[in-house]
Parts: sequence; structure tokens; C-alpha cells
Amino acid sequence: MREFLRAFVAGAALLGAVSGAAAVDGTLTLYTSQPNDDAQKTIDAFMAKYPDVDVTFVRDGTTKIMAKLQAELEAGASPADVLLIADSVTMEGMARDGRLMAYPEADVSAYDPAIQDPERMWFPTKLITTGIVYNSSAPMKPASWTDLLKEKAKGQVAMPSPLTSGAALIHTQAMVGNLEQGWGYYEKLAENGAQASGGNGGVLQAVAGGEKLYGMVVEFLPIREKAKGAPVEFVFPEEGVSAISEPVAILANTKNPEAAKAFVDFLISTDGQEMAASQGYMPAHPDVTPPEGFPPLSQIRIMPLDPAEALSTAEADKEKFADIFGQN
Amino acid sequence: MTSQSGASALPFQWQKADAWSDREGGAISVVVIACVGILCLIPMVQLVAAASRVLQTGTAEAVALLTSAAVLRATQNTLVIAAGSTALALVVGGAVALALATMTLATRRALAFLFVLSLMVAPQVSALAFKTLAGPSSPILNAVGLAPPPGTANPMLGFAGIILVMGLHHAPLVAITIGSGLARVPKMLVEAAMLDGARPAGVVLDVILPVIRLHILAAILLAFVAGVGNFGIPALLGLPVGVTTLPTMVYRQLASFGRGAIHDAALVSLLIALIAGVAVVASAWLMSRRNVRTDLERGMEPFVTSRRATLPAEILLWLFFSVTIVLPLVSLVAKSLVPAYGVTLNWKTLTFSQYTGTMWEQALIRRAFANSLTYSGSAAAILALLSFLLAYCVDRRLSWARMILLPVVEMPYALPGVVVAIACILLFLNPLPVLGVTIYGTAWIILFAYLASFLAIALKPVLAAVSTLERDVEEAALIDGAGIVRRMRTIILPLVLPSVVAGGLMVFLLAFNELTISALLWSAGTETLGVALLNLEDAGLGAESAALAIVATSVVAALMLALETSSRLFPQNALPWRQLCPD
Repeated sequence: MREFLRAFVAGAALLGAVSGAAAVDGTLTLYTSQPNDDAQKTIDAFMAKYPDVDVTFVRDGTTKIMAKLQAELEAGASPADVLLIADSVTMEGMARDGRLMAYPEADVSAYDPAIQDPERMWFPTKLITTGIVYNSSAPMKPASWTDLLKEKAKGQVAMPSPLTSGAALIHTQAMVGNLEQGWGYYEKLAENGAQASGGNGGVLQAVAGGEKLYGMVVEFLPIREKAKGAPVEFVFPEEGVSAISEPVAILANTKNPEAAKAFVDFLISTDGQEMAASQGYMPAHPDVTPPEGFPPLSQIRIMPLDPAEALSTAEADKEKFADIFGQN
Repeated sequence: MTSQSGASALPFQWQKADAWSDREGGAISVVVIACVGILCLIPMVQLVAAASRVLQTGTAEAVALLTSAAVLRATQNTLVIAAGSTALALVVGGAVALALATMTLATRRALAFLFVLSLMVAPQVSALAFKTLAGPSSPILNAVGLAPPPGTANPMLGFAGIILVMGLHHAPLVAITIGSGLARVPKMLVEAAMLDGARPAGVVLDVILPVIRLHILAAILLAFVAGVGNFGIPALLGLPVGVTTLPTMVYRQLASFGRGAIHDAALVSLLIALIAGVAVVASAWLMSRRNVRTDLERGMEPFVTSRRATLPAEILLWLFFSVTIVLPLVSLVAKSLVPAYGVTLNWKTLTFSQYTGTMWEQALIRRAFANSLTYSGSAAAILALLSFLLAYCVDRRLSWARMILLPVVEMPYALPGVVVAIACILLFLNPLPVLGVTIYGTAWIILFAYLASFLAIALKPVLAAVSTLERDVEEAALIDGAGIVRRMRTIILPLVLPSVVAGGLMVFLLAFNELTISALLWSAGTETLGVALLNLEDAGLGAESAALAIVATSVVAALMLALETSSRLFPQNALPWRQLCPD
């Protein structure tokens, strides 16, 4: 009996050791569209909690990072384990192509079902809205999207291109679907000399540097730079803002699913959400307080958008946009 | 220096030994030829093959692509920008080269150094510096109250800015080429004209310019090819306002559509190669005609000595360089010293945090530094060795192959980086035959492209050094029974080592801040400094990108300074700024 007990204890210990070893270690590669310093802080915080995991990241605009990832997946040689990009529309596309791994055990019970995937393929990590940025010295303080069509904004508006930025694509789709004028709004913007190119970073630089006075941009960039002293202001226009949830997902061909799951768990945990808030983002978790400079989540009016439908019209919308703004 | 003519005069023993050493050097020759073929020939053949496959299988689509509004517009933009920048580079570079060659300027060495430094500053850094200088938030213009009001578009964005920055950036190229022509103008010609009572201006117009006309043409073609292929300047100054050139178009296609766009990119690259190739061939033809040997005569020396002429010229040159080289770099420094882009620099806002914290905390930037050091260092070391072997073989054993090997080596260097990068992608897109591994998406593909691109740079000084070596010493060693490896190690290498080192260091300087190739070839973990800079700009982190640009430029400037202070160790003409201003 004692022998049996001893064997049992040894076996249990061995089992524990084995399952412990299978837990969370090894390497993890993150493909992300987050700005460099945020991506760095995110993985630093994760690695502080899981010191046995070595995370590297690759950063580029959502469209570009996706092009890179797709190319690598086709070649069957992508190092990517986890994907953290701007928008759920791109995630829908990845899920449709069978590139993502479902993670049904992820704890997202506290999150708004409206920003979630019922299949549990991707998970919201924050709320990023697109509104209007203006240079502090601008003569007009815009309060509405239509203010950008005024004479005072002629040739003074910079905006990111949906051909480069995932957030910009969703923003365009939300605007077209929710503004009365639809595409007519963008046609008038183009007539008013608005310039559309590159990503949100370029828009911020143009407005902060005074080369343009107004811009459409994701809110965290100007709010954060303003805190550092940059001459920019951000407004949530009265018609509402578009929102993306910066979803995270696990690649189906990950070599380290345990670490990938831990990474997802970390981002959607209260700790991870507080870290997002500390980086100057609006957390997606309703219980976590937004950072300074943001109105409470309840006061922001978000223009609704259906990701599945947005996916189906994405290509046509990009072409339409390129048409209006004369891009190739 | 023709070996054939001297052979019959050699003693029997040498002839016999020569035949023996032909076999002995065979292995090295085979290795060298294989390296040149793999690095420089196969990628180009692959590009042409891929493009012609696309042309054949989808003729209609290919023609539609090449005649699409986007490609036509990009082609037109490329030609306009290349021509405009060439004109500017010719005026500026020609004037500087003439002033340095004809006038006794007290600070000519410093002027030449500064001028060539502006060429070695990466194009994307130049573009960033000028953009920072001219915009409404320009630290320099704001300090003197001259900044345009907020809401003014940056004048550097768009055609005019691209042409200005590119013209100034390529002016040193023109100056070096024209300068090498000027150095060969026989001194006697100038002296004769002066004795005849010609004024300096007359000497320049009637004597010097006609003699160096082929050099001027070659300089024009060189600047034009550089303009067609330049990526960094139109990427930073053109893409934000929708001005695309062929190289930025290829980049955007690949960046946004991935591998699906590779065949379209191959076609457009071939178009770039075609445009550049016409100029390259024309320039090679010109160079082959330039056989007026003036070796026996003494080259021209500065003949304008009157202080009344040289002092204003000297002041003018310093003023011009201050505005076109120093000021943009200073404003870049100023931009890197504020907490966020757009903040006015003053004592209260001054911070070194971009240098001390922000940049260093990011693993990406640290990795980019490590990567650029590794890639450019490895390329420099490998190419130094290869160019030594290649120069020896070409000079001593493969003289029959010289006319084939050298143009093949020149090809990837002369063609724009975009073309080389696309050729490498095509070559390595699929796993290598037999080995079954792929280097696509790894650091190896970047290293490969660097080796292909910069072999010509490393080879140039070594070939010049080897071809001036006397044969006696090697002959003696041969008779003593020293094998080829021993002879190369103990006799040849020590004699040409300075040139080998100079060639390697030039490769390092060029590869360290390189962007065009790595922008197309980078992947997870293989970001270079150039890619990191583009990425920071893209993410809206202007102050950080300025700081990175300054650090990267400082490395190049420091290395150039180190080379300059030890220039006695290097043979003449191994350092490009010395070429502009020989002893």
C-alpha cells in the first residue's frame, strides 16, 4: 500500500511537472499594427508576467503587415503566432480563410457582445475611434464632420488612406453608411482639396507640424502627443465617431498555442486593459477607467458597422475611395 | 600592362611556371567566376525570364499594366524628376568640381569632405532633413521668424522638393566624375594657354571643358541613372502627396499586395531597368572611347591663385554648403530634441529623451542597429575577400574574361536597388532546388542582395591596385617554389591590403544606411536602420525618427572622418572625397 501511495504521489508529481512544462514558455512572434513603442510596452508587460516566453514583434500598417503575413502563409513559412491589428474586418477575412485558431475558453464575459466574435476567433483589446484633429493655431474649431467641407478647411485636411490603414477603411465605411451624404461626403472632401495618403501617423505629423490644419485621425495619437506638448487638439464630432476594437487573434499554424493563449488572456484581463489605458487608449473592458483626456465610454457616440458586411464590400469601397481621391 | 605582349620576352622558366600556375590558380578562378555568376548574373537573368514569361502568358494583361494610367504617370514622373535633378546636380556638382580643381582654396579639403559627406548621408535622411527645414514647424525658420504660417503646405513635398533634394544629393556624384576628368587634363595644356595670355575663364571654357566633355556626359548619365533609381527621396517627399515614381510604385504595390503583386512588380522593374540600362550602356560606351591616355603627363593643378578670385569663391562655397548641407542636418537635430513633433524648441522643451530613452527602449530600433551593423559588416568582409581574389584572377589569369566579368559585376551596382531587390525575390521566392530550403524572408536574402549590389564598389580600388603591381616579386617567389596561396597571402595581399580595406569600408558605409533593398526584402526580425526610420515616420513619431536619422548619420560621418584622418594609409583615389581633391 505504501508502495502504491508512493508511486501515486510520484506519478502525480510527474504529471504536474509535465503539464507545467507544457504550460507557457518558448518563443512567440507577434505581428502588429500598433505603434512601435506601444507594441514594445505590451510585450514587455507580458514578458514580465511570463518570463519564460520570449516575444518578438513585427510592426507595420495593417494593410502592409497583412500583405507580408499573407505572402508568408502562402509560402508556408510565417513565424507569426499572434496577430494584433487595427480592425475586425481584416480578422473576419482571416477567419473565413481558416487562418485563425478558435479559443472558446477565453474569458470575455464582461465585454460588450457587439464588439465580439461569436466564434471566438478574435478578441477586442481596446476601442480606437476616429475623429477630427486640428492644429491649435487653426482659425476654426471643427465640431462636426461637415465642418471639414467649409471654405476655411480648403486644402487643409489630411486623412489616412484606406489603401494603407485598416482603421481608415473602417472609418470610411462607417462614415459612408452613417452620414446622410454617403459617398457624396467624400466627393465634396476631395473637391475641397483634402489629401488622402498613408496612415494615421502621417496625418498626425502633418497637423502637428502645421502643414495641414485639420485631419481625420485615430484619437489616441493626438491625445497622447498633446499631453507631451504638441500643438494639437482632438474632437469627437457630433455625428459620432467610427470605432475599431484592435482585435487580437491566434494564428491557426502557431507553434506555441499555450503561450499564444496566455498572450490573449493577458490582453483581455483587467491587468492588460489597465495597461492599455495607461498607454493612452480607451479600454474595451467596461470596468476599466479610460485615461485622462478621454470622455467616459458612455458619452462617445459610435457609428455602427457590421464587420461581415464591411468585409464583403471592402474591395469595392477601396476602389471607390481610390477613384475619388485619384490614387493608384 | 598587357601580359600577352610581355610573355614572349620572359625567360623559359617563367613561361613554364606560368602554364603550371594556370592550372594551380584554376580552383580560385572557378570559385570567383561562380561567385560573380551567382551573385550578379543569375538574379538579372531570373528577372528578365520572369518578366518575359508574364509578357508571353498574359500578353494582354502585361501590356494593359505597362500602359495603365498609373504606370504611365509614374514613368513620366520618374523621367521628369530624374532629368530635373540631373540638371541641378550638373550645375552644382560641375561648379564645385571646377572650383576645387582650378582654384587654390585654403579649405578645399574640408569643402570636398563636407560635399561628399552629403552624398554619404542616406537619401531618406536628406529628404527628412530638408522637409524639417522648410515646413511651418521648422526649428531654424521659426528661430529667425521666417517660418511659413501654419496651414502652409511643406514646399519640399511634391515635384519641386524632390528635384531640389535629389539634385543636391547627387551633385557630389557629378563632381567626383567631373573631378576625375579634371585631374587628367594635362598640365601642359593649361600652361600653354596661360602663356598665350588666356584668362582663367577662357582656359576653362576653351581648353578644359572640351577636354573633359566625355566626363561631363558620363556624369550626366550617372546622375540620371541615380535619379531614376532613387527610392528614399520620392518615398518621403512624394508618397505623402500622391506623387509616385516607378521605384516607389513597385514598393507600394509589394507592400500593400504582397507576393500576389510580384509579377507586376517584375514587369515594372524591368521597365526601370530598361530606362536606367539605356543610360548605363551609353555611359559605358563613352568610357570605352575615353582612351586619350595622359598618364605620362602631369595632371592639372589649381591655376587661379589670386585672392581676389579665390576668396569670394571660398566664401560662396561655404555659404552654399551651410544652407544646403549643414542647415538641414541642424534642423533635424533640433527636431530630435523636443518631446513631441510640433513642439517649438527652446530651453524649456529641450530634451534628450529621444536619444536616452525612447529609441533605446524599443527592441525594434536596437535590432535594426544590430542588423544593419551585421549585414553591412558581413557584406564588407565578404566582398573585401572576394574582390581581392577577383581582382587577382581578372588581372593575372582571366584576362580573356575581363570584358565579360567586369560588366557583369557592374550590372547590379549600376541598376537601381529596386530592380536588384525584385530580382532577388524572384530568385528566392521558391525553395532552392536540391537544397529545398528558402532564404526568402530571412536575413540571407538581404545579405545576398548587398553582395550583388556592392561588389563593384569593393572591386574598383583593388583592381586598380592589383593592375599596377610589378610582377617581379611574384615571379621571384614563384621561382622559389612558393605556391599560389602562399604568394597571394605573403606578397600580393600585403601590397594591396589598403585598397582591399578601403573597398570594404566603402561597402560598409553604403550598406549601413541602405534603404531601397531592405525596404522590399525585410521580414520579421530583419529590419534595417532604413526600414526602422520609414516605420517611425509612418507611425507618426517624428521626433524619434529624427533622432534615429541623426545617430545613423553620425556613425557614417565618424567613419568617414576616421578614414580621412588615416588617409595616408590608403592609396590615392580609394576614398571618393580624395578623388575630388587629390594631393
